[in-house]
Amino acid sequence: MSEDLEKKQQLVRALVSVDKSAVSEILSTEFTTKGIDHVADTLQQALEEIGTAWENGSMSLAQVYMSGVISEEILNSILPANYLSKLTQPKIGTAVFLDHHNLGMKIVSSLVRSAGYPVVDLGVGVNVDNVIDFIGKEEIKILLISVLMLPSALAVEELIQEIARTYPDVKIVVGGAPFRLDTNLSEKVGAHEMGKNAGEIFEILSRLKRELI
Amino acid sequence: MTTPMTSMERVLCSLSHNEPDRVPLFLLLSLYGARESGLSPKEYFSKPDNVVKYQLFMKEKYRNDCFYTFSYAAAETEAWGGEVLFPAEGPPNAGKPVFTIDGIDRLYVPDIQQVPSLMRVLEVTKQLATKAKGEIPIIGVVMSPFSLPVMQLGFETYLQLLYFDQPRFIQLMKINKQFCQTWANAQLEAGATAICYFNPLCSTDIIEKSLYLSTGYPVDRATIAAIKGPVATHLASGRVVPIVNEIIETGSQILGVGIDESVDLIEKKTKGKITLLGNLNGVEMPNWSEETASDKVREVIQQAAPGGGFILSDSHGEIPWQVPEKVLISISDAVEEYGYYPV
Ligand code: B12
Repeated sequence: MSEDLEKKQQLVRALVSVDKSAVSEILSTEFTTKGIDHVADTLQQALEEIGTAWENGSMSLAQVYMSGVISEEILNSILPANYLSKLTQPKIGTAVFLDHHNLGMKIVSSLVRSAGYPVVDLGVGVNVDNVIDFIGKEEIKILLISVLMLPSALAVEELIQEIARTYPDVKIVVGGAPFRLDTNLSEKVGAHEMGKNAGEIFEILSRLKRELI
Repeated sequence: MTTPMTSMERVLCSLSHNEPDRVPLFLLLSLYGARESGLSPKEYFSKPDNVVKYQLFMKEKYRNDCFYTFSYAAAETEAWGGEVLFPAEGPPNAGKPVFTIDGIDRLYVPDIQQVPSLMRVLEVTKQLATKAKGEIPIIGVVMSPFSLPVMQLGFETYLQLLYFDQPRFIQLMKINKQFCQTWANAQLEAGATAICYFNPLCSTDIIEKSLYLSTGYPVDRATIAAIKGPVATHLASGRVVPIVNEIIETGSQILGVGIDESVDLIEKKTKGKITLLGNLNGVEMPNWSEETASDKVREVIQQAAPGGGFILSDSHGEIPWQVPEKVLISISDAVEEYGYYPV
């Protein structure tokens, strides 16, 4: 096994056993020996693996959540000051549409932040007007929407139509249980992308970034 | 020609792992009654008479084999003063969390007699029991003590409690267990035949098995043992296979199964030990054609119904508002067509 792969595996184990000090040690060592970009990379790969493991049933949602929370906390403590502001990543907005269930969005935004993207959160229970205002005010380039209830998922169609009218360049990624349980739904509502698990967000963002350039 | 079985006979026969005349159908129609009645969910659930009327109506219309007294999960949080948000055409949801982790120190077991939303469910149960005359199973619902805190505290806070504050977790479980068993037994006394024990948090989708076994599992075992009637454990479409043996050991007689695992596989693991309830995908149903509905019913019946020990239902424990009635009718038509034993 290559050294990098072994490090990633160690990190996955430390994250899912909620062992903060082990995570901190691994990432700090990586940071001093290989630099911040390498840390972000390793972390991203580990989180991606944990996300996929959730989807195929070998890890729990609680472990995905804890991994995100710990990663964000530790990364913030080792990141050089103003590191994030120097990155030229597209600005990402997050919103829990109509629903009040924020755990899915919370997990996804922890992961996205850990990968160094600037993220602004609109909050929960938001409606079409709130989202349109938010995109304009915050100059959002990629919008991540999470829902848990089916009526909210269906209503995303109307939201996407309104965004397409007002801000046609904004990319929209949807996720949450209804989209996972009915894989045709994201296409039906007109989303650009759908994440079946939080870890998929990294690949989705890389794809969308290429489109935005 | 032999006379058809009553719904109760059909279900009891299947529960004893024998083949009844046909596969029992549990269309879990709660919120759907509001849609049928033309009332908003809020109005509909505010009067027991509405619910009774439409349970009777839907039993006939969809040739259902049960009455379902469930209103909405958040009704239980009203016992601690929680607010419920009522959308116009969808399931009611819990509002803000009702207490904080610190608040657990001052928590009490609420008296269900003082909670209007629960008393209405008891009234529905009583009225349906007089109509059912022992021939139609009446399914009551409780949230498990281990799953209820998602609504009491909020999901994130609950995970923090579970990982980092064992003493308060134990205290909360004590209170929730007492509440849950009292609430379940009150429904049984009012005439419910069985209790559907919603416990998605025990799914390895949500909590890893090792953590569940050392936290929620002892609570679930003790609570189910204290419920004085048959229990159906339902994981609200979460995966069941990794913990199916533990669920069987709780004494649950029925297990609700979702779509992420094949019914075939679960059948093999459980044969003869627990009756499976499932697993038509309710979230997909709004987009089903009548033909798809029929194909799905045939497929699951062929996989899971031989030998009994199977009740056809959806994967979650509630038919969504958005499902067209023609889809539900196609489901019951397909049960008539493919559900007669031998299947
Ligand atoms: C646990 C659970 C419960 C628990 C706790 C619910 C809660 N959070 O409040 C209890 C038992 C209390 C419950 C009750 C209810 N539930 Co429930 N429940 C579930 C279950 C099993 C998991 C839900 C959950 O919270 N998961 C955790 C979150 C974080 O997971 P997630 O949204 O899938 O997110 C992951 C991915 O999808 C992704 N993701 C999420 N968002 C995004 C966004 C982006 C951009 C990306 C890339 C990825 C992404 O990342 C996350 C991690 O990988 C699901 C079924 C299922 N298998 O998912 C039903 C489910 C959510 N419940 C459902 C319903 C209807 C209800 C009730 C309304 C029932 C009722 N009539 O009362 C109540 C409402 C409760 C309330 N809050 O008021 C339905 C909703 C769909 C529908 N039919 O409308 C579901 C989907 C079941 C089903 N199969 O139909 N439930």
